[in-house]
Amino acid sequence: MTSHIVHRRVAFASITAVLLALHANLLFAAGIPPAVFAEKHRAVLKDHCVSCHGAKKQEGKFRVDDLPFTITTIEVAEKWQKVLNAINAGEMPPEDEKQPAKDAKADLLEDLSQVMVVARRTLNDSQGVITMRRLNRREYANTIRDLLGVEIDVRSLPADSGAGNFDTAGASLFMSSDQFQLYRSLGAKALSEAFHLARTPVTVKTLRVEPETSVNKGVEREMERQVSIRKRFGLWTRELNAAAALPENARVAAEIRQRTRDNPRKFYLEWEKLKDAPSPAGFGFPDAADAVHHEGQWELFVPEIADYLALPLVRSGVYLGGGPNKRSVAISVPGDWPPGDYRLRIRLGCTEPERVLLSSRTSEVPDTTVSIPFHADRCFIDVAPGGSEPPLSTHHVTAKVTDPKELVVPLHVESGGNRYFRVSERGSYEGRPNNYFEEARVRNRVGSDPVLWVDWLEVEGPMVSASDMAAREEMRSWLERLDKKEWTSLQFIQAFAVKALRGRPPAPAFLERLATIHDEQLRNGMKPRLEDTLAVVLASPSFLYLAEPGTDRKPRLLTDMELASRLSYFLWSAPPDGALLSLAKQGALIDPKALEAQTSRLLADERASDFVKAFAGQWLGLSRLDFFQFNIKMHRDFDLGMKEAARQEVYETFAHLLHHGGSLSRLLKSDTVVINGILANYYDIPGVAGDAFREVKLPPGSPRGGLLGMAGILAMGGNGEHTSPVERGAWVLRKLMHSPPPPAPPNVPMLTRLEGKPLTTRELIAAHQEEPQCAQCHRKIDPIGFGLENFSAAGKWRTEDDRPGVPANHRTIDPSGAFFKGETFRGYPELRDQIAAKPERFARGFAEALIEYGLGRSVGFQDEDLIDAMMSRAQAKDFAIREFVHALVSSKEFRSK
Amino acid sequence: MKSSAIPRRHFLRSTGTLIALPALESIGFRRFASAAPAIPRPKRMVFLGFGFGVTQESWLPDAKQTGAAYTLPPGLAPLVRHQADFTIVQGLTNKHSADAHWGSTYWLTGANRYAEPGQSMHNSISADQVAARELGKDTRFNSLQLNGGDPSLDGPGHGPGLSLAWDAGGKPVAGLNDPVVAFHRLFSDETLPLAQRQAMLAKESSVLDAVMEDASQLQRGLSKRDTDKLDEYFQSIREIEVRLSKEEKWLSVAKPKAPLSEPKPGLQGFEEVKLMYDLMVAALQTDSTRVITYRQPISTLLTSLGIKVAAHDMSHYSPGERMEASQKRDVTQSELLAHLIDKLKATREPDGTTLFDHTCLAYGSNLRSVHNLDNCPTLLTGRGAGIKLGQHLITSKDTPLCNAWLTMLHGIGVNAERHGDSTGVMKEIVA
Repeated sequence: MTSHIVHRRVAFASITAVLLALHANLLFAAGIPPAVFAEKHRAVLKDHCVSCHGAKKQEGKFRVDDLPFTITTIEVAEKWQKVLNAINAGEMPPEDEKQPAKDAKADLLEDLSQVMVVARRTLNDSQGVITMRRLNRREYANTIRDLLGVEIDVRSLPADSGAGNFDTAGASLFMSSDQFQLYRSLGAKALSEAFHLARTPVTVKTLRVEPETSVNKGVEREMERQVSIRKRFGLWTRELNAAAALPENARVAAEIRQRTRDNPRKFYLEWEKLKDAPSPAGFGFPDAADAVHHEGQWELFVPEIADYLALPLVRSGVYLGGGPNKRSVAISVPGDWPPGDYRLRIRLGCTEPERVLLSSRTSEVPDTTVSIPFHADRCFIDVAPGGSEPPLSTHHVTAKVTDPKELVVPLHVESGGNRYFRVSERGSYEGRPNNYFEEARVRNRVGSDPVLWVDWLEVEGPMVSASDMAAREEMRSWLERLDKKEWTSLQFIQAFAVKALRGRPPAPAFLERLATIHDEQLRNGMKPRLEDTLAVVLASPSFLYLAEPGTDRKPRLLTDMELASRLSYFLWSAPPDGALLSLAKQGALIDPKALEAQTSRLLADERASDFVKAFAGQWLGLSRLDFFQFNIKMHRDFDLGMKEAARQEVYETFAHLLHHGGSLSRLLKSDTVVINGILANYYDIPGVAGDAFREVKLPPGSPRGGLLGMAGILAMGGNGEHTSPVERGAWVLRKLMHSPPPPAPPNVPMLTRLEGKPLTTRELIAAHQEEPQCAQCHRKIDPIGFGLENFSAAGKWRTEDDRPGVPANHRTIDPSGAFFKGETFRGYPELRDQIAAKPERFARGFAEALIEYGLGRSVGFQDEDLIDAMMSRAQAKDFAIREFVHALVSSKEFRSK
Repeated sequence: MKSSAIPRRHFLRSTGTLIALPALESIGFRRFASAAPAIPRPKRMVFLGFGFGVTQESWLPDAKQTGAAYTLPPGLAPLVRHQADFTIVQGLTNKHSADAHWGSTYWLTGANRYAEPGQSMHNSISADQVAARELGKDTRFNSLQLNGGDPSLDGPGHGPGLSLAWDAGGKPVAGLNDPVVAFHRLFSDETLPLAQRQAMLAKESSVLDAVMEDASQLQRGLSKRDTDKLDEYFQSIREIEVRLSKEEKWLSVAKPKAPLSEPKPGLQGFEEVKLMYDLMVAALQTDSTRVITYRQPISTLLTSLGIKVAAHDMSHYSPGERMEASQKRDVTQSELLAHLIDKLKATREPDGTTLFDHTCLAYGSNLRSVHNLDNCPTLLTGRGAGIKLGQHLITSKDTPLCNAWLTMLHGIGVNAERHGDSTGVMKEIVA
């Protein structure tokens, strides 16, 4: 076998060599434009480089004079890269030599960077070849779910999105031995669960928790404990003080008092130095430090507890809130209920805005009457797993405490996974309610200021979807046949393999091998587990790869079955369903009308949400939202729940346009937004209640509408504290204007002279214009970012820069600017309008992204016709998003291998 | 490649009788070993990659002070007790590297991303895997790849890859992210009786036969590019076969007793790195493997230090909060490294020498700082490869980083002709 491999390798090596030689010619034959460096730069090179790097001197054995301006080989590209690197790094021309004019240098760098991008694209492009693709992590999970009706945790698998392209790009989806073993163990786990569920009849149960019986009882006990501590502490210190007053203790007592500066607590700690002083142990304290510590907590905890226990609905429910006594309620899905989907029902309401709290019912704090400000932005709950985990979801509480209502939250319980769910005021993970507690404490000296009240919680389930039920039902009937000996193990394995391999019949030899695994174990005296053998199918290449046989020379049309798979993995990230498969089996999918109808059907299906999230999320780079933590002190309302809602807004808007024939250009500018309660609260848009997203007309003057008005998009352009006009500007160029700046060049010297000075963001970044190496890109990027400065790092509208140290009279944001060599704008609205005025370039970038995602390969110059075709079909329908999808699916590229 | 299952199975079954016994001292025959004629202790090689670079102002020693008498800059200060035992080399560069956010992808390979026409990302074998071919022969694990359990590892900083290691085909080698899993892989024995474990191995072998059968079927009619892709699958299976045949070899040898207790789950950042270092020492000490790479965590490290600045922002430091974060990161990483060197020096080999005497370790990243890819920060330590220690050296400009790797490889007896874009051995760092 070894020699076999060697031969094959040698053969490959020689093929590669031939390909290398042919490559450049092939490119031109295919009508691909070469990367050409503009002639106008020849003069600069001649003036500043050739005297040392010409035919005569050849310093560093490097010549610039003979470098072809048309880049057709990797070798020439490498040489130009070297030139670009040397100029970027400030190494060339050497400091003591004549320097080119700043503008000329910036222009040269800009052009050369762009030419290099083109050269890399040309020379390293896959030429439209679609590499066979492994199921990525999402697709794997969906495929298992479709097959077995079981949801598994796939986080142990690699995320498949490291190299900066879509997670559908076959060339970047690798395989490793560890991964193979992971597929086996995940598969076996899913199968065990599927077997178990198939044999367990579904009985829907409910369990209700009245939280006051546990939470409020705990509060009462805590009150009693505190009272007892105080009482015992009082007794101990009275006796202690009496002992200190004895004449024989006078000198020592005076000495301690002086040293501890008359701090009684510190005095008590040294009780042992006093004669006949009582031990704290006699009063139930382990030692003096413990006594002093516990007594010291009185003020922090007790007034709030006393206040809480006097709240009007404390007999029948629990008030949620922050502060030292922070309160939440929880429920567990019982351990003997099967894994699956459940419903959490919470009956709750918000306190009334006009409620007046008679603060302080303890004798320790004087009574005051205060009215509580109503915080609409606190009428949200987080549902989190475990004790102190980030929330799973955030929900708008729209009912009033006077008329509480049930809120329904979907839960998922994995086999062996978390079953405990906690409900708390929104932002509890980051301590947001504590901020309100502290605010209230300043106001009422107690801190108690609850907004949410929970009557009860209930879990109900398992809720099994029809499709999961069908998968289980089938598994049950198979197992039954096996149990009744109607089927042998081999027959079972065969039936399973046929279903798992998406219409590709398993080879008899493969089935035999699978049976061997089973039989050998029997022979070896092991008790074979069917799920272990079936798991091998789920780790086999036929299952893991979307294989489409083909030759290297000529593209061929996909078979119906292959097309069905390609379509369903494109729009569902999941295998084809029965309807699609049966059409394919009839050979009917080849018909353009049928294909179009199926595309529409798949898009309308719930499963298309996978396409929306995966495509829109990766296209727009939303993972950046997770690169940093948001500073909740600076951006109080941008907690994790809001961050998820902000991300969701992008998906929901995209989905809304997709489903309703909406135009892509509405992502550039729109007079409506697609939002839910938490976003409406954040954007200050009245009249939107609840968790459901819906289209809402914007009030006049709102800066929202379109991607650039979305908190999620704006929040990516910062670091969780401050804005980054550079990130924002580069994003706009990349995503909205189809003019991506070249990748950040290495080795450019940093500008540091202004750091640490109290300057506005704009002033800091203006320094980029000083050096041509920076200016070449930043003159395009930065002005756009400045135009967005009226949005904070969390996407809220603002008029003042919040960088620390900037004097108050210097903070007003100047959002004016101009596109490089283009129109000027006075601020955000004009900036947005000018971008929105050219939807074609945005549409082009979108079409390219869609091709990359859908075909699982990079876009190359050979795709110009395809892009044009997609553009013209979409343009005829006002750039409707779904037209792009139809145009791609109907293209020969999509239907060919 | 048609898989002919029978010869391979035959190979698997027969190897058990052919192998040399593992070194005696690793299974508790130390007192005999000490009486035996001195056998040279095996060489070990370790690479620690921290991806995001350093704060160059306070990490790189003053270029004017070279040789043995140089002042340790603040970023390296915690290493002062080991100053005579490590060398800082300045001026090393992977000349093909141009991705300003990829600190680890090409660190040990020196490959040119664009070398292959029609491929937008190419890589080649990493130095550790070259070493593992030789050093891995007699140990239970050919090499060990560790990763920080940092969810952002795949993002900017380290760049694409599944660990620091890349195999002979330039494909990423997977690593272990969880210290607890690494612990069990190294030290936890199967509790099953031998016969049953043999049966298990036989089953594993049948499993591989089955998927190889399917792969061969699938391969028919595939284009060249897809065949290449499927080759990754074949390669993975082959690796498992090698591992299995090794496992069979080692079947009757119990895993060594763990020199440390089972780690607590869920450690992150500082504690996680410290634990991984301890695990690495334990793996070397028990001769479970002789080649280790560790792609270190960064986001979780910052969090564990109470630093609020995000890792990517920190790496783009300039004076102020971000630079302070970057410097604190440097100092902490140096503290951790000093701890590792302490341990290597304190761990005795059966012949009375220490692990430090037989290990060669490189600590660094492909990124210097910010977006700079030249003068990669490089710290070499351990006496295993005969590197001249206690020095601050500045190489001639544009010396390939791979020259350092080649020198280390030669130092441990792996006489590769070249590695990556190397141009030769660096005589100036050889003792």
